[in-house]
Amino acid sequence: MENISFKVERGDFASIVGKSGAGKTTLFKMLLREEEPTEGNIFFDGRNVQEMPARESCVLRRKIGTIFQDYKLLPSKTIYENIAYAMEVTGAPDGEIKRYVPEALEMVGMVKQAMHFPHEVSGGEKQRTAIARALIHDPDVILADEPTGDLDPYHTREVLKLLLKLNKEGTTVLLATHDKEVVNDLGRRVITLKDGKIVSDSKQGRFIL
Amino acid sequence: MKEKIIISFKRAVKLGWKNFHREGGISFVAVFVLTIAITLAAFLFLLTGVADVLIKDIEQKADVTVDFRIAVPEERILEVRDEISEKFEINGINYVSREDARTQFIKRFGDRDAVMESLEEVGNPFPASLNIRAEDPYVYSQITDFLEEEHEDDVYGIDFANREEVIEGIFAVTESARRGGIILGIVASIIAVLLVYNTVKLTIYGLREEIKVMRLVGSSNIFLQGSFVIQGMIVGLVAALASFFILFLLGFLIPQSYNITLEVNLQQYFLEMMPFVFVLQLGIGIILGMFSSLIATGKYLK
Repeated sequence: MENISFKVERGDFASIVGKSGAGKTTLFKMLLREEEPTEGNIFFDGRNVQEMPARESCVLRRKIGTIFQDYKLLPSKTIYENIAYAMEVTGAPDGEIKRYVPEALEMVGMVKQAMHFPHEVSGGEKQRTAIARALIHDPDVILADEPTGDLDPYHTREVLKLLLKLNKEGTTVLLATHDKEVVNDLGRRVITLKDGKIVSDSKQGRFIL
Repeated sequence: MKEKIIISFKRAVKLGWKNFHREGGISFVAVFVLTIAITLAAFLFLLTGVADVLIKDIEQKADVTVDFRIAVPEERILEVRDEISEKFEINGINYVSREDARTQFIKRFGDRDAVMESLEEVGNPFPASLNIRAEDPYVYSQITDFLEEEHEDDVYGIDFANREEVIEGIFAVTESARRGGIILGIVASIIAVLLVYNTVKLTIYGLREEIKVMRLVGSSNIFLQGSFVIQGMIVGLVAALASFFILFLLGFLIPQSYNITLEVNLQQYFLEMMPFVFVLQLGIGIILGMFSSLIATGKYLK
């Protein structure tokens, strides 16, 4: 990535679009502090992420719900446990976990598969699990990296509806995608990346690549 | 805050236990390796103890008897006894009077009529003696020299000269056994620790992607490491139980016949030591499992 500067306000919904290798995932990795920029700074809630002590990285990550392109589910845990884990690490009481996890499973249509392990479910089901895990602890920001990549049109619409609903409730959403239809249907802010650079940033953008 | 710490601890225990029984194959290998290590350590510990008891028993048997001339009065012999006790570092010195010697002889050969008849005829041919036991075999030669120089007229004979080689041989062997035991113990402990650490390291290497994901979803290093440390402790606990069971069975397999030749009961010693050995096994198992997990996971948390 090179010479990039943009700001996302609290409560925004922004799509980051670009071809594969444009830098969408790298951008998310830097926001999560999984990778460090060689130059420049990233600010989250007014704080310079690069200057945060390493032990605070987990606090930053708990404020962000991430839907990873490759799902990143824990293979030794069931679907239920994968979702619950995101709450467990925050120290949430057992009662809350028992109440919210079934709700999240219901929301993404994974109640029947709750006790299955990731290797026992399809790609689309893994993606829905990853979505539930990203939302379960009520994060301030959602980073969704190609969240509809493995979903059928019905579930794609459901996921987008869900992201819009959360955004309406105040959650900031950053959606990385190369799905033209999804971006055009949303009619929200679009930041277009090409070869690691921003080529356009429009408030009610369309897919231009 | 306190409540959150308790919740996190409970969860770490739960996650550690779940990981242990879900990753059955990996857990089995880790338990197996740790069981070997603990059994080796406990066995060496017991062996050192047994060897020590045996060595002491053998060394006790390596004594020297000083026979006095018949004419030497008891008071004189007791003076010599006190002199030896003061001058030399010895474990014990016993005075055996002529009468005691005769009684001992009768006890031993009382059932042989011919021998007893001969004894009746000659009266009491046995000399009074001093029986000396020392920790260091060199003390025996010093005592011999002392008696030959200072009490040549009183002493009839010392059985050290003809047993010198045997006694020194026994002490040389027991000393080598002690040294060998210590070296073997150190080498075996190092091998055991390396074996366990590398097994745990390989296990956690296989989980490095999972650790990465756990951190990305917001797990703190303490929470993450906690569950792996608990898992390591469970492995250690199970291995300690398995190792205890193995040694317990071995304890019963020690043949009683060994006890005939020695004054110590090996099986009894083995079984008496078991509670202490169990605590030792538990300690080694849990500490090894815990620290191996701590060090191995620490590598992926930077």
